[in-house]
Amino acid sequence: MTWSFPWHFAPRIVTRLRLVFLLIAAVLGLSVAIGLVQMRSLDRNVAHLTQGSVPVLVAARHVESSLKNLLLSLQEASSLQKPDAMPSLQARVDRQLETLSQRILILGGSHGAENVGPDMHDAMVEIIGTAHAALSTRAQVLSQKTSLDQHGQKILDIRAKSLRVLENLAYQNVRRTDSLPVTARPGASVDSDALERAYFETLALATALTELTVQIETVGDLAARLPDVADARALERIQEALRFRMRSITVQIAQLPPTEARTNLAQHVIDLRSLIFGSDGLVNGVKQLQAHRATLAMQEQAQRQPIQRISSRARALTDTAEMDVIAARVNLAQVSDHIMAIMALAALSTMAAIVGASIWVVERQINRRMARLTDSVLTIANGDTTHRTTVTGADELGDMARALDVFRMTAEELSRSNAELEKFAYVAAHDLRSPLRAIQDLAQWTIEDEETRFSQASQRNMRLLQRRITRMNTLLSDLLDYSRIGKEGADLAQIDLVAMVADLGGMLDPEDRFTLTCEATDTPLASYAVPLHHILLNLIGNAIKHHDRARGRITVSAHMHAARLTVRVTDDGPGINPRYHARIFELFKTLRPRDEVEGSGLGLAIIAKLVAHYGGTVQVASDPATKRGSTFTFDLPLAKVVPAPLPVAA
Amino acid sequence: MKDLRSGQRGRIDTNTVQFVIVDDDEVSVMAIMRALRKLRIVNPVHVARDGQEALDLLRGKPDAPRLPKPYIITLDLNMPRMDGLEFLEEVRNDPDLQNTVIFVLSTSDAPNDVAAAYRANIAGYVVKDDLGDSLERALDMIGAFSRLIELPS
Repeated sequence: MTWSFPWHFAPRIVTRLRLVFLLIAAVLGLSVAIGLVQMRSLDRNVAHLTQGSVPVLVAARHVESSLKNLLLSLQEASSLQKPDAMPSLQARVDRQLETLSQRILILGGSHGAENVGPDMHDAMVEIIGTAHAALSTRAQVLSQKTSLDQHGQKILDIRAKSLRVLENLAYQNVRRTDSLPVTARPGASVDSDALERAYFETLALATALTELTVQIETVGDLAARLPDVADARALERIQEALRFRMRSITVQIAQLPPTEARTNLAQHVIDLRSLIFGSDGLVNGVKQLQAHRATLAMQEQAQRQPIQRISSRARALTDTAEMDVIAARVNLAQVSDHIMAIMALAALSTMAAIVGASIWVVERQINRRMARLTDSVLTIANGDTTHRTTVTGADELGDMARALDVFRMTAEELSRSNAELEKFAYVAAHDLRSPLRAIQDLAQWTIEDEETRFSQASQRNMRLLQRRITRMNTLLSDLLDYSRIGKEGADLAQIDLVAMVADLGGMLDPEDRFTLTCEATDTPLASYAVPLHHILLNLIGNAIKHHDRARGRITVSAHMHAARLTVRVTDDGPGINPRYHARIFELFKTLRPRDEVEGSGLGLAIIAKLVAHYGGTVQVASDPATKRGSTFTFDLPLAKVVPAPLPVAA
Repeated sequence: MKDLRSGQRGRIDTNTVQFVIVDDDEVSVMAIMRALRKLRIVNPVHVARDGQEALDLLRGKPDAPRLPKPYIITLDLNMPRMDGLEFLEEVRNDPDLQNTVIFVLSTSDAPNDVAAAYRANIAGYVVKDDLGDSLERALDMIGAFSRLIELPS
């Protein structure tokens, strides 16, 4: 390992991977947890808003609008002229006060209004009180004004009457004046002084009448102005003016010639005086009106304060609520940022963890070592038993590397063992044949030299001797072949199957006892010629050897499929009992006694080993119970590239 | 050293090419001798048991003269003391003997042995196998060789 934990703790690979995954899960879990916390804060904010600030804003707005309506109504009250509209206005104001109270109650009970609630409540009570008071005062003012108007009307009536009287008097006066001669005629009864006095009187009367008219008119005007007088000082002045004029009127009336008209006039003036200056006269009435108005003004003044209080409290609550909203918005933005930051961080750290784990744990610790181990395994599997793997460690890979070394040693041992065995087999077979040859020769020479001198028995013995020697030779030869299989590389060569079979027929069946045919395509085929020849030699030889009749038929057929050459050798001999189908391929096993049919028992074993070496199989199909004959089928590799044709080696 | 002459009737007088058989196996030598007799080859035959004995024969010893040329040698490879390939090496390194005509007559058919022998410029390599008359035919060929070919002297 190029990198190991600093504290010499090298856990198993599975553990390491689990740790990595745990780490990633922890990072994710932590991020989720923090995210949830943030979400909870967000939640709280929203709840605070929806349950706190927003209702406050709504309630405050309601209160403000109620106040506004109330103020409008009160303003309307102040511009009222007639007392008839008062009751309905009063009812409206009552309703508005009711609504305002309710809304103030709601506002007072809302979030954050604990301090101002009671205050607003008190203010509300004040407002109710002052509103009622003001309205009733206003009603009084109005009714007072009405009665004053009535007074005024009466005064004007009397004035009109007085003026008529005066008119009459003036008219009479004018008539008298007209009746007077313009100039005194001599000799008239009326002398010029009397005439002059008459004119003077009429003139004086006219003047007095005119003055009276003017005064009475003025008094009427002044009296008419009285109800509108606002302050007390102005009232005093007009009062004085009125007194003055009334005195002069009285004086002037006294100066009039005593007539009935003058009496009427005097009565009118007396009535006038009492209407104006009487105890329930205009002046007093106006004084009362002024007092009411003053009270009203105070009451209206008093109203303002609690309304303002409520307004300002409501505004304060609104401000607070607005600030809360802003704060909540800011908080929300913050929380959003946090959450995004956390997600980004989580993603980054997860990525980093994955990349880190990928590089360190997966790549360095696992992949590379795995690759090296795989290389080692393949190298050893391909035959290099000296290769030592460089993978070490206390984990699974290390275990496998150590196990691999054990296998390698076993394989090494095995190939050494095999090599020794082969060498042994070869040497044994080879060195055993040498004395065997000598035995064969000596036997042969003895027979050649002394045959005629031998008895029957001895001749037969010698023949048996020779046969046994041959048998042993064959056995050794076959054993040598068997041991050699796979050690020598065979070459691919172009094969003419028909020619090969014909050649084998000539060698094995020189007397042509059997019909040997070959069914194969004309397509040139390339395969391992030497083994093929060996196998066919054996199979055809067996077919001939084991045939129970003087004549027979042996057929060789071949077909190519999927890079394999499949060959069939069929004969019409006695067949092989299915019980023995497996046994015949074993070493040293024959079906017939060796004295009847010479055979080492290795032929089929050699074929089986050869075919297996080239990745194929050999099978026998035969059932003497149903039908004569047997078919042996085997397959060898088929080459695609056909090498240059070589003569078939015998 | 054996000096065997065939004393039968009908002997054919050949030239004086000597045969030297280098083989340690008694029966193998007997086989060669029988075959020669059958072929009526009456050249003088000498037998050496191993490479060293053969060298002594060819070079001569203080108490025995060297074998006169021309001669043909049949050589077995598996022998004690000095085997065939070592003998070949000795012979080829000896200026007197290097042009000797040698036929290897061995049971070994290993390609290494064949190649090594031919590297030492043998005249031919014959594998002693079990088929009866292969030895006869080989010796027949050698006999004809000895009659036809001009040998170094």
